[in-house]
Order: sequence, then structure tokens, then C-alpha cells
Amino acid sequence: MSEPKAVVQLKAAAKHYPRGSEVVKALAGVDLRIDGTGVVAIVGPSGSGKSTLLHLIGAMDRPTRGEVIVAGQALNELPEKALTRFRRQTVGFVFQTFNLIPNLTALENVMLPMEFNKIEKAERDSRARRLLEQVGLAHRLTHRPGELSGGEQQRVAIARALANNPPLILADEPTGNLDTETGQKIYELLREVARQRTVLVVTHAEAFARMADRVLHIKDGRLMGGN
Amino acid sequence: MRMVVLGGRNLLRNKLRLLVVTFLIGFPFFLLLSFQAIGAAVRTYTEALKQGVDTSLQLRAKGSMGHVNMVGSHRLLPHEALEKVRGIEHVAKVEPYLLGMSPTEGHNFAMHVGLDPGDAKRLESHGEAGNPRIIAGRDFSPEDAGKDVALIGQAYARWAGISSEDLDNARFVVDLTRSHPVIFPLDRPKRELKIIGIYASGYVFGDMQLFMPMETFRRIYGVEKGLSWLFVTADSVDNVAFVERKIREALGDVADVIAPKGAATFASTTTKTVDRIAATVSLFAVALMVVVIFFVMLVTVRERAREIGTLKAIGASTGEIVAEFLAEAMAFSAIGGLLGMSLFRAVGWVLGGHLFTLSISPFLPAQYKDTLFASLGGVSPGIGPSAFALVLLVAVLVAWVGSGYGVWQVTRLSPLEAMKHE
Repeated sequence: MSEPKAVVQLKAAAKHYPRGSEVVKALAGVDLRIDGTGVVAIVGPSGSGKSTLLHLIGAMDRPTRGEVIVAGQALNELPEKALTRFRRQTVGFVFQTFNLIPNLTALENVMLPMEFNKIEKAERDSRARRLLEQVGLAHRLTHRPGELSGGEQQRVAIARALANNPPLILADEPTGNLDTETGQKIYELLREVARQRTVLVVTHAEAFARMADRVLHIKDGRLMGGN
Repeated sequence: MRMVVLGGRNLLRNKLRLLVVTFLIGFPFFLLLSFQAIGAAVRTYTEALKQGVDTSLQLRAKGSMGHVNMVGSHRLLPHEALEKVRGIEHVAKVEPYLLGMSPTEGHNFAMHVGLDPGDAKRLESHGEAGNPRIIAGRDFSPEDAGKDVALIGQAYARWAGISSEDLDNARFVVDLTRSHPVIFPLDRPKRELKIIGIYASGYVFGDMQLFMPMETFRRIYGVEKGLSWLFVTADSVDNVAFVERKIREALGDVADVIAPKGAATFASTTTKTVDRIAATVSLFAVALMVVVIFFVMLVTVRERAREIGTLKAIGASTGEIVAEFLAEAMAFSAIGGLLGMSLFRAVGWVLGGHLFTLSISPFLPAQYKDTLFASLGGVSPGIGPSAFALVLLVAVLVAWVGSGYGVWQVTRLSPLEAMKHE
């Protein structure tokens, strides 16, 4: 009987950057397998390679060597068009600085990834309203990011990440720009989201790491304590 | 489609930027429209001028006036010149003349002209004044060819005792045995011509001429071959120089060619000067717009690097992001174009004169410096379909060319690089 498909699988994945005459080894050959749903926290000191790991998994960057396989797709082998489709359908990003489009309303921000995914307008609209309602922003549909608080913006960003119903959510320091109380609410929301999918979170927050279903420690570009 | 709309909406992100960029693009559009209108006005003026301008070249035997009995100046053009000239491209009409002189007390002498009855009756020394007005009797008809008939100028008629009241019985005797210090006698029999009409030319000497059919002249003067003058009409003022060159090539050194310089000069120098300046300013205006769009889009792409990265991260293709930026550049160009058209409609006719004085007048020949713009009747501030199409075309061109580098930057950035770029 064959092994079930992993949501994320890295095989000796490495990422090196040139910096002047030196080569920085941001990731030094990581093996990793993540199955099923739930929250996986990636923790480690600054510069340890946790964001690099997240970027490789989200096809935001390509590994120098090794393999990155997400939802059965070997990202190393995908051409640019297929990577775009992968980012549309397979992953949803949540950024530390929210990264909402400033001249679109909350509703339009959530509808945008669905438009890239060629979903009908009526469907986009109803799904975006439903998602914003889920994150508690039904009353903020027509507000632009500048009119929302940090916590509200991050909720819109989470709703946007869920727009195309991807199996994997990647969150890079999602509470880094929020106060503790708001951050706590965002973590609760992400836990809620993780009931039906995998949520991979890069975080410094020990409290959240304790709430995660699985914690990966990373240091100097290597996973500590094995996979 | 959403990205195109988003590109358009991006304009409103920074209203000050919108205002400044719109003006920076609108003003060159205004310049473009103004200079196009000035160029068009000058071309229209030139075309009108060409219609009324003499495009005839006069040919005479080299160094000779070509009058058959003029002392020292009676050499004629060879007869074959007529066929050679008729065969030249862009020659619309060839009119052969034979001229003789006749002594007249008081007026010194009169001119006798042989020509085909349908040709223009040009006046000696006033070649540009053709077909003088018939004040009594009638003009030549084709049936007069070879007949002993003539038209006489009113002064010459007075000298010969011919009055308009008794025109039915008017006769003129051509006596070639009479001489003058510049006219030698010819041993030819006297010949009587019936005067069928009297003309007035407005020139004193012009009214001292006698026109008769060419064959009649040949019989009276005994000139079987040769021509005094050939008037060669080019089919347009633009071809005068060409026809002149071809005549010189065809006839070699046997003829003097006198070409109308004024119209040719205007057509070849003034309109070309105006066209060149208008084209230069138009190119400059377009280049200015391209530079404005270039820098605006460059700054925009840099300012929005993180946003580009975000859009790529959430699934936008490079093409969709390019569409957003092109739409934004197009919107800037289009609004600039609208502003330019509005400015042109509002103040084009006022500023047109100043633009002309500042930029075109200094490069014109002296005689047109101060008078040409007034002659044009001003610059029309109308926006016709061609002006609208020009604005649209330039707007698209400027948007595409100007935003090219910025768009290239967008395409080469990976999502992560775009975010780090910031």
C-alpha cells in the first residue's frame, strides 16, 4: 500500500544567497513532511531560515537544490505559469504587514484572488461576503484598508487567503504588527481555519507555538530535532 | 478586467500626482495639436496659393529676345524644341509664340504677336498678365486659325485710327519695310488684317500689341520655322523645378529658361520649414510625454513593489499586473490628451499666434516672417476626427513606450524579490 500524499514534503531542500563574495546558506538541506490538517508552527531566532522555508513552500522562491513538493506538485519542475496557478489554488498567504491593496475595499480585496482564479462574479461576491462574515467583518465590507484597524486588516488578509479554498495557508509572523490581545484573536482565528486545512505559521510568539498542533524548531537553516 | 479597472482607479491614489502628471502630459498634447493645426493651415494656404500662382516657364533662344526683326536679338528657338518640351513629364500645356516689332511714332514701337487662337495672350514685359480684357468686338475663336484677322490693344488702335464704333470696317496694314534703331526692315509685301476686337490690359505698353494667328504671322513675316517664345505650364507648382530641369536637359544650351521663382520658393522653402518645425515640435512633445510617463511609471513600480509582490503571491499572473500598469499609463495619457484638447479648444486660437511668432517665424524667409500667420487666418481650434485620432494614437503610443521599462521591471520580479525590493 502506498504512503498517503503529504501536504508538504521537502527533500534536502537548500537555499543559498550570494552576499558580496560570500554565500549565505539560508536553508542548508531540509527534510520535512507535513500531513493532514492543523496548525504547524515554525519557530526560531531571526535569520534562522524560517521565512525562507515558508517562501519555498509557497512558491515565492525556488530552492538552490533539493525538492519541494506541495499537494503533490513538485515545485522545482513547474514553469512560471504553473507556479502562478499553484499560488492561486494551492496556497493562501497571510503577511506580517497585511499587504492589502489600499484602493480596494475589504470585499474587493477578498474577491481579487477569486478573479485571478476565473470564478464568476456572483460566486466571488457571495463567497467573499461569507468569508468576511466568518472573520467577523460583515459590517466592514466597503471599508478600505486605511479605514480598518490592524487586527481588522489581518482578518481581511486571512479571508483573502481563504478565498480560493486552498489546502494550505502560509502565515509569516501574522501577529508581528499587532498588540497581544489582537494577536491572540488572530491566532484563534487561524486555529479555526486549520480545522479544514493545514496552516503553516512562522512565529516568534511562544504562546502561539504552544497552541500549535506541531512545532518545528529551526536554527542556522536546519530543522532541530529532526522532522 | 478587474486589473484594468484597478489600473484606472490607481490614478486617484494620489490626487496631487494626478494633477501634476495630467498637466505635464496635457501641455505637450496642446503643443502637438497647435503645431499640427499650424502646419495644416500653412499647407492649406500653400495649396490655395498654388491654385492661383503662375506655373509657366518661358523659353527663348539663348541670349536673344527672339523678336524676328529686332536688331541683334532675332535668333529664334529651333522648331523641334516644341515637340521635345511637349514630351516632358508634368508638362500640362505648351504655348508657342512668334513676336515681331513695328515702329510707332510717339510710342516708339508696338509688338506683333503670333499665337494659336486658343492660347493666352500674354503681354510683352508683363508675361504674367495674360488674356487682357476684350472691350470691343470679339476674341479669337478656333476658326480664326490661319485667317488674316487680329486683336489690337486700345493704344495701338488709337495710333492706327481704329475706333470701337467702326470695328466692322476696321483694317490694319502690316508694313514690314519700316525701320527703327532697334528694328530692321524686312522685304515683305504689305498685308491687311481685319481687326475683330480691341482689348485693354491696364498697362501702357501692354495696350500696344497686335495679336494674330500663328500661321498668319508666319505668312506675313516669312518665318517658316522657329519660335520666339515657348510658354510651358507645369501641372503643379511642386513640379516647376522638375520641369525646368528636364527642359534644360532636353534643349541643352540653345535656350534661356525663365522660371517663376516666387511660388516655387514658397512651396519649397516656407512650407517645408513650417512642416519641419511642426514635425520637430510634435516629436519633442511626444518625447516629453514619453519621458513623463517613463518616470511616473518607474516611480510607481518602485513605490508599489510590495504590492506587485503581493499580487503575484495571491495568484496574479505577470500579464494581469502588466495590464494594470498599462491601464494606469493609458489613463494618464488619455486624461492628458483630454486636457490638451480642452486647452487647445479654449486658447489654441489665441496662443497659436504666439507659438508661431516664437518658434516658426525666426526660421522663415524674411518676406514671410511677419505676414504669413496673418495670411493663414489664424489657427483653427476645432478637433476633427483626424485630430482626435492623432491624440488617441499618441496616447496609446506614449503609454506603451513610456511604461515599457517599468513594466519590464514588473515582469522580471519574482513575488519575493518584489517584496524585498521595497
